[in-house]
Amino acid sequence: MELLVLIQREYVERVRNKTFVVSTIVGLLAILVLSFAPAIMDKIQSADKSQIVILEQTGQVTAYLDEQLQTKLPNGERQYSFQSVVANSTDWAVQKKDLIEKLLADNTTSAVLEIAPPGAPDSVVWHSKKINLGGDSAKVEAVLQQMTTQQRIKVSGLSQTQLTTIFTPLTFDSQVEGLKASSKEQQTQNMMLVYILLFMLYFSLIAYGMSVANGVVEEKSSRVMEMMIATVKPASMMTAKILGIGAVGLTQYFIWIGTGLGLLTLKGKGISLIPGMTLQLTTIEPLYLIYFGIFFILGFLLYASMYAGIGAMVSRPEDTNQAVGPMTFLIIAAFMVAMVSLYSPDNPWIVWLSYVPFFTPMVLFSRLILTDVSTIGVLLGILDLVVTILLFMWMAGRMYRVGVLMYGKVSWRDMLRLVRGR
Amino acid sequence: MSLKLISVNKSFGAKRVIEDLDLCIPKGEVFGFLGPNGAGKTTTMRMILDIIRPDSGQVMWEDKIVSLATARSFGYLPEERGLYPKMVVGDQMSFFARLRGLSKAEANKRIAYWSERFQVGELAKKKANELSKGNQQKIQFIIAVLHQPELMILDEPFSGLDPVNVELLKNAFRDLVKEGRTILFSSHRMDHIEELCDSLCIIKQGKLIAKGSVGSIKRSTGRKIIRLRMTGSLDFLKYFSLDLAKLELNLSKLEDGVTEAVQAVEFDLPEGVDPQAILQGAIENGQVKRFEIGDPSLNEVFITLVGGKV
Repeated sequence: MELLVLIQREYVERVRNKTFVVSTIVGLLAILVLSFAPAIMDKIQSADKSQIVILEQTGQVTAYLDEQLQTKLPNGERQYSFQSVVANSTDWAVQKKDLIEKLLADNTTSAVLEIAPPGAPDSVVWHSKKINLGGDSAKVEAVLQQMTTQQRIKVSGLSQTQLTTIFTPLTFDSQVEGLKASSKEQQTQNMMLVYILLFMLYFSLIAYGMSVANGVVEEKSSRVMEMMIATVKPASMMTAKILGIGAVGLTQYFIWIGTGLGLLTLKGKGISLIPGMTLQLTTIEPLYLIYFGIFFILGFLLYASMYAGIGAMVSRPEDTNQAVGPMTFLIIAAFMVAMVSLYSPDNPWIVWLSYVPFFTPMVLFSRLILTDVSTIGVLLGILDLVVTILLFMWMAGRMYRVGVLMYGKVSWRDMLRLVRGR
Repeated sequence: MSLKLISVNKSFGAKRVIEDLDLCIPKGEVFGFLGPNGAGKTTTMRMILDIIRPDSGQVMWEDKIVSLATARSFGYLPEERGLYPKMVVGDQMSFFARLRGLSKAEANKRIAYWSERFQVGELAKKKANELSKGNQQKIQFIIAVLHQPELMILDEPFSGLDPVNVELLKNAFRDLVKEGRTILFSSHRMDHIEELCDSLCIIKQGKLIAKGSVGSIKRSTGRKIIRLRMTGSLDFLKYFSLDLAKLELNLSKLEDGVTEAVQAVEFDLPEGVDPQAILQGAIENGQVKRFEIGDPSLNEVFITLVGGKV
């Protein structure tokens, strides 16, 4: 009952707060923009049409380029169009300069290609008004290189069949053994899930963990604490604060993820956070999603209870930022270890670290998805987390309670002494 | 049915804050808790509310050692007023009432009653940090009283209130006592103590130096105060080994129409002197308007006991 009243206050006060409303709306806008981003990118890329004029005598090069460079723009049109201009005037050297200048003067032509000698191009000059790094010129160069090579081989007397044999690529298949995922695609999907957990935890801890610490400090600095201590158990207070703020965070996620999923169903595509890596919710094993939920929530509770404890040691709001500094380091360390575990989940160091409570939510989750972890191992990790969380919440409560007597700087030794007695 | 403190001791580090404190406050009394700044009043109150625990000795309410469960049933007005700064006042009152187990409907009914009584109804929609200090204090008093506590611990409830609000609070005290509730409060305003309390105690550096009814404490110093108003010369007082020059401090002249000046003087009855002799002397030397043999005021007793000199 009292816990409910406490959680309710924590939740309602925060959801009503302007910061919450504004950050939720900003998040929604970001999601909308991101979901339309591919369409917008398509639009932008589609404007990237290039017309290339080729100065040659036979028209052979133009035909070859036209056949080989069929790159399509997102809107279905061809990216490159080629036009040949016959270069056979008598005073060509003079005329050429004027012609190139004229062609490039109007903006429809993006480049002029000067071929010499006709037939197989041995030397080509790319005239353009802009420096094109690795773009169009490189593609054209590659195609022309190929054309020249083929021509030269032909000249040397090899038949077409011999040519085909020479150019056939070898097959290279990768077969992954001993991992849970049966295919490379599935492994990518699993890694994607781990990435999402890591980023969500990281983001939530930085954003909401701080507000747990601030909430505790606010109660101390506004001296409501004394009223609270005379009314409720400090442990209930801490629990309510953490759960209340956690619920606020979940609300925000539900709004965001709900909108995101809604938009995705409308568009019928997977989530693409990192280009080339797509998460299809339908292909993920449901058990993994349950683990995801468990480790996300436990991870949040663990770090939030530490933030609460730090809040309980600080009495002035100005000091909070400095005091939570080490927490930020710890979270970053956990994040780094988790990143390593993505690529070597069976490394003995990683295995040990995955049972250190601070790292468990991120690292054990990554391991159990990417490699074989026994059920007992998973349960052990969860138990280990739950015990640590309860211990930290209790300690945070005690520190909060002794905080009545101590305003100003409190040393760790004083704290320990006081937590034991009263 | 009473609040008892039995040889309570408390130290913070090497500093002894409360030393062997014994107190018994019967149910239905208003008890004044006096002492100079830093005497240990707030610490004692916190021990009654189980916010901190005594190193030795017991604090008992209705023959049970106080705990969070009893503290929840008490009403508490802490010295450091504390409200959630950004929370709307109405919600805040309801929040604390519901923490003490009241239903929402019941809480709102009582909030309406007390808000009306303390004229803070229009503040309900404001945030706590928008209120003046006095208004915040009234809200905190309402929070302390909403769950109809049997015992109220009020740390300087009158500080910062204007005279109108002081009257409102005094009336609330009287009504609460009529309902059989016990109130323990601290104050530095002796007139409030004298007016409201059945009994009181004075502590100094954590030690009890006086306790009892207001009358008995006033008498406890053994001092008698003579209050004299008369016309004519006060020179005769010299014969009672009183130093007129020193008395001058208390002497004030009042214009009584067109006739001679009336002088008012107040002094300690010197040891071994019969007050009747002083009255005799006064009659011989002028016209006596007022002659009173009384106890010293609580203010004077306080200052004497606590160490200053009147």
